[in-house]
Amino acid sequence: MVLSVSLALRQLRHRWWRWMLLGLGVALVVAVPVSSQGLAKSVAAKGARHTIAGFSTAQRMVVVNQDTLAPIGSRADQNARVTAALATLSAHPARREMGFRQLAVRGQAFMLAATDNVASTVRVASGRLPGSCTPTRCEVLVVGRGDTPQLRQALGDLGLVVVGSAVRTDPLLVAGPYDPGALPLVLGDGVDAMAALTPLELFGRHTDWVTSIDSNRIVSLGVNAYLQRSLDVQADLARTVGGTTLQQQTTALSVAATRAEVSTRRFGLLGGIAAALLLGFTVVAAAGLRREWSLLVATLRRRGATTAQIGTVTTIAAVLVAVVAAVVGSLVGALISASVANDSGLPAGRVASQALDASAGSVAALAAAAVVVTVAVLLWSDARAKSVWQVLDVLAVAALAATVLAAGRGSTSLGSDGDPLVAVLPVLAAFVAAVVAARLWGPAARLAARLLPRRSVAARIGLLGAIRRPLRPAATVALLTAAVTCIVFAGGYRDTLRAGAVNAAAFQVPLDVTLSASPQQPAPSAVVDPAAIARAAPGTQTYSIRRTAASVQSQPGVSASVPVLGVPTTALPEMTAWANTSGSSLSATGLAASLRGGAAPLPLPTIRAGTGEVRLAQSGGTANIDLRLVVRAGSGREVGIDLALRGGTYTGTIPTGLGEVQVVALTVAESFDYITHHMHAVGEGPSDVKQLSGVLTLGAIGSTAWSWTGWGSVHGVTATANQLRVDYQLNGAALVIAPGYAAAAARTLRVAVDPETAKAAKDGELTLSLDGAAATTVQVAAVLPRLAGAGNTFILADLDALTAALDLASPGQSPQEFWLRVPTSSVPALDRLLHDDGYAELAVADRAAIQHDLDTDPVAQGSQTLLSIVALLALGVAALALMLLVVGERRDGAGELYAWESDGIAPRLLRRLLAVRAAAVAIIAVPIGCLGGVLLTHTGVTLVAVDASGSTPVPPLHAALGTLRVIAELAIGVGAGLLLSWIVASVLLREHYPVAAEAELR
Amino acid sequence: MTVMTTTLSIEASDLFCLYSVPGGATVAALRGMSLRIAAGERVVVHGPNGSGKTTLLRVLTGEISPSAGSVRVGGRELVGASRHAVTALRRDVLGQVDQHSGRTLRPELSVRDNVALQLLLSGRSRPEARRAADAALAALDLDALADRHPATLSAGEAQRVAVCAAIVHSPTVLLADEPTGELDLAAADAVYDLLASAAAHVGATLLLVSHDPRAARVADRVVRIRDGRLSEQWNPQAPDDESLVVDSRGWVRIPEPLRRTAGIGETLRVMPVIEQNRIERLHILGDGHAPPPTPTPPVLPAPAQILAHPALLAEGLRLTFGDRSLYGGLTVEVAPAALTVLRGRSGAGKSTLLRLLLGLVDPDEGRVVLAGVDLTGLDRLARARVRRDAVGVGLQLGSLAEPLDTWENLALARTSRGLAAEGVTLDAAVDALGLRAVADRPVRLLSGGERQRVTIARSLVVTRPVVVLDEPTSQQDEAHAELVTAVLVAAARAGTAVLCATHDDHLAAAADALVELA
Repeated sequence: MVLSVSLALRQLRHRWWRWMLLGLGVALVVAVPVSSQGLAKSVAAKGARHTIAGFSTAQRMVVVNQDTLAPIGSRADQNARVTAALATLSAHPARREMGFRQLAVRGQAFMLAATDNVASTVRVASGRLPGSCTPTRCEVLVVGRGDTPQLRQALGDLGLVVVGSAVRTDPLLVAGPYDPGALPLVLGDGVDAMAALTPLELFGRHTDWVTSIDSNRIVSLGVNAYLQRSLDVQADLARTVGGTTLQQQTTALSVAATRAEVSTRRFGLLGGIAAALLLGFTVVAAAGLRREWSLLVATLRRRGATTAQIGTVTTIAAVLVAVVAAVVGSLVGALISASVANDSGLPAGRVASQALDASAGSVAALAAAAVVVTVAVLLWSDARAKSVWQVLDVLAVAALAATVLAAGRGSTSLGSDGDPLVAVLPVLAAFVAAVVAARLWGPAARLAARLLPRRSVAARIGLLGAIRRPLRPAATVALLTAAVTCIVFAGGYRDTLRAGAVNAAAFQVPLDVTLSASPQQPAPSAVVDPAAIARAAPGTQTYSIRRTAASVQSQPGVSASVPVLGVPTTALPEMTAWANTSGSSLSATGLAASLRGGAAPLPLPTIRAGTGEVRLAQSGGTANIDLRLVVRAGSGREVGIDLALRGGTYTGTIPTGLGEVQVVALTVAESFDYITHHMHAVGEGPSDVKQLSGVLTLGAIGSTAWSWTGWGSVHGVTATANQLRVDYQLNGAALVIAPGYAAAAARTLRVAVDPETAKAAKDGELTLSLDGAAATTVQVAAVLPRLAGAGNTFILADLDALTAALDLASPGQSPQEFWLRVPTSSVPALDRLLHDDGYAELAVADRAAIQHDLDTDPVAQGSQTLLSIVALLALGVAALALMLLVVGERRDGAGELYAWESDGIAPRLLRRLLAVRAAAVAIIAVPIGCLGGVLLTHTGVTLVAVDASGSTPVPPLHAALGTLRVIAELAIGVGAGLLLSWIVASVLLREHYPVAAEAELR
Repeated sequence: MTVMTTTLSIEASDLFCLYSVPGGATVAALRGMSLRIAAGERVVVHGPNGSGKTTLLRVLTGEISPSAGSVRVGGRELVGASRHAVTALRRDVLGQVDQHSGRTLRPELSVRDNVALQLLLSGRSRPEARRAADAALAALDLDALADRHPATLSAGEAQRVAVCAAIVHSPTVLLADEPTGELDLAAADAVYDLLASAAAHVGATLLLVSHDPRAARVADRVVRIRDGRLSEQWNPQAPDDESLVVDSRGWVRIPEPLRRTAGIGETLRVMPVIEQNRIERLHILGDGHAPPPTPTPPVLPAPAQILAHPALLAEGLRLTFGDRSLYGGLTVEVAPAALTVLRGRSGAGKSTLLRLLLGLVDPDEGRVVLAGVDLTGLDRLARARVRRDAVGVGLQLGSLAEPLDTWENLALARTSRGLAAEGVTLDAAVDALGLRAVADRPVRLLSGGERQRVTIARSLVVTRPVVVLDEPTSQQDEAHAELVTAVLVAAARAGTAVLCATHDDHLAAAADALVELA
């Protein structure tokens, strides 16, 4: 063994630079998984911070809640315990609050709460801070608006004295689930003091300890560890304090943890690809040592060395190189990890240490693999080349079978239960592509050598020489193919993830901006004025969207509720990335035409802008009924105008600001008083109470002019131009009388549905009940896999047709959502508008902002970065392999080159033939690598259902790898290979004399 | 392996060694070779190129196993021996010296460690092995070199160290293959002496393969191998007492001159002369016919240009090669339409001289004029142009395109010089060199001799006025060596200035001019 070690060491010292090249390859192999682990940890930390940074105020709260208030004697101890427990979760201070349910006194509704150290939570706007609180009198502040004399009077009944108003400075003050919203918040100073207030002693209350979520603590612990600690805290408090629950955003944090886990796995996967690729580089590097090593082996054999001794020397040399390289590579990886961690605000040393720990197994395995590869390359006899090929063939077939098996198993999420076969798919695919290319290289080179014109002397000689010594060219072809496969895959997958972000944003916001209801503004149609938007942001198109639900009957007695989306058909072609978001081959324009089919709705009567009131002459029975005229403004908002009977005329006031409106319907309903009396009658007497019925006749319309012609309803309505006779019989529901009723009712709604809903259709028709109305039949015009802006199941209809159908049953509903298409030039103007009063209360979803958010997600950026690194690494390996090929061919082919030059071939031609060998390798490897990369990208995108941020992509990813791009990459790859090989070859064979091979014997 | 107690160190009986060549053909390198060498005997083996010398050594070292026959070395039967047994043979029984000391010595080890290596491999401790190495070096008067590395040694020193490394483990048999092939005369003599004394020092049998007649001076017996058999042997002290060898089967090979002299054609009669009831001697009577006539000399087309005399001129050549000074102001003239042979023992500098003449390296002194162009001062590209236009070259490491067949290789040689791929010379060269039957096979499927003839054909089909060949018959059996000789003579008769470096006496005999290198 001593001899073997000594010989191995001397070999390493002699021609150390060639071993160093091998060591460099191994070091890179090892550095990749270590640094990718560190990168993954940093990205996971950034991802967690990003998630927390996106939390709303309420989501930032970490709350220990108790539905009661402990006895006075135990409060201090309880407070200390909870505060200490929260301190283990957050470095931020915890504050105790006490809140009551919503109270109403003297008709004044308000929320009453108290907090310790109120001065730290508010800024006094008027008056002063509370100064005293006794069991009978307690000074309080009114936070925000609502400090009225009526409120003060009502509070006085409870012993509460308002001493000022204040503005909240601590966003966590009575926030989240306890946020009073629009109600006044009455705030006392000191939980214990207010708890002692006698008038409130019978009121239920809850106690909360509130602190802010601490991203630093979470990042330093790790999300999963933090969540586990939270569970421990909760259990501990339940045991020691009792009756408490710990509330925080565990779901969102779990999602972040899952994303981090997926990200780590992906980093591991990509690290594995790079490592496998670089392992291929060790084959090429070891091949460069074969010639010298075979001389050593020959000498040792001549001098009586056993096979075991030769194997031992070889193995020790390989192990020494691998160990040193593994140490160096690990240190480099750790340094990279530390550097990235430092940039991410993580403890560099700890992350580097964790990266080393996490990748220790991989490092050992890769180093061992490098040793095996090196020993095999150095000792494998040329005579056994056929056996080597057979082994590689078997492995390639096995890899191909595994690839097919992986494809057959379907997609995986890369989660903990992800298919490991899919996870190693890129490595398998690259290996198969490499073996196929290496196998093809020989026959292709022979064919090319025969087909080349005879005058192409350099090319022919170059190819023929390479065929004679196929190991290095074949190994380089294999490595180059694998590298190109990785480059194309990395580029394609990166583009796919980017496109996935575009599609995901488009799926959430189908146009550019979506305005919808918010807690502050539940009726967006009350705010949104398309005309005003168009004025403020020229060119902006505003589309009203209606959402409702339908009960879809799949079989008798079985129905399911499906969301219904009414979208203007003109908006469909405007939808971003329609093909990807919908997953349908049907174009948006085609779908729009399908939904529009049938007769257009009849024009509705209109009331001119500025009309103050509407008057309808009346005759006939009107007792116990209420009439309401439903009109629709330009935004689609529908407004009910109650008609009051005054002297034989029904009169209604049209709200200002509506502009010109369309008359949608007239409803006749039981009056509120009648309903009340009717309910009492039913409750107290016999149940067979007579239904309200009568005949109402409405005459000509004042102030404006429309004809009653065409008006109708389910029953009992007779209309002429100047008179509408309604023979009503009411039983709870209002009678809807609508213009053009017969035509509208006869119209069949055309819809597009999701595949699941489509299963309920029979003969292309679906039976459903819209918004609780009577069942009707709609025609299924299209089935879409998905629809942007909708959920898993949906029914899409033309907005006008849907509105007309809804208005026949329950008029007066307004659009709940608005989709805006905004020209780029108008984006700033729209932005300003959306910050104005009114619009600012709406929920605004901006596609560009969402996309930006997705793009800048740390996990996504980390993925992109790693893919770029993989591509760059592969590119570097490919370039180095080509250079080594040329240099190695020069060295090992010295005898051949010498002979040709002796024969009169000019050195210039010999340089060209060296370049030709490299070019031949590139010409075979690059197309096959591109093909492999394209297939791998498509397969990977299909099988690995993970978007850039580590989540399940909605819509699914689509490979964004265009033919042009592949052709361009192919051309650039071949061109770069040619250029590089030419540059390297051009500096060779410049010695004063030709160098004969014999000179290298020593 | 059977270990026998015998006084014979090497005992080879009726050895046949067949090489399979690609394409299914078989070549016989040894054809019933029998050789017995007694313990401590020193035997020098001569023989023409391709006669089987190297194959015999490879059999004796266990590198290849004979197809038939038996062979014992140091009392160990090698036929059917395991790999382990062969390794033990090399480690314990054999000492090997190669033409290139670099195949024995490792550049990364010191001289001492190189010598000690075999002992270390056999399991000796490092101090013990080093002590033994020092002792061996001292015994051979090489102790001054112990701490140096092979790269710092002269070729002669390195070869002497290689000899020392070969005997440090006290082998029973010392095998040396052209050990002076890279040495000057003085160094060669020193190595011969060292081999003899080293073998004597450890009591080893010495088997020395060499072209160099001077090697005989350290031998107890000299044998000659022809066509894979032992054909003649003699005592170097009495070189005229050369005997034909009768092998174990009774086969005798009659040398060609003797056949002609004795008028032995296809048959002969052996008549015992009986006197006093015992056979006193044998009378051999030829059949009165002449030996088979020499084939009709081939006719080759004339080169594209016949140069004026001299086609190739070297004047006052001197070259320092390591620690050797070569040529001593040598002048060589190669005439057009003549076969000029450059002869000399291994290591005399024949191949190097060819390179000088081709402008592949410059002399330290003197000049070379090739096809009327003085190469002095020309750069690498210009010299390549001169060779391209004037010389057909066939060096030992010639480049054949192995995937191509003979025709394609010849066409490639022509097109690489800007000539039309086809030409009448192709058929003429292929026929003259006996390649017609295999001309459609890829070259990689041809035997070594066939490949060498394709290389010669390459040099001829380019129809250059000068043809330079290095050892053109080294892989040919005698019949094909004669064929090659005839072709080269024919090329010369057609007007080409043919220059060959060779060991082959037959080729030398056919030369119009002979340049002997000392």
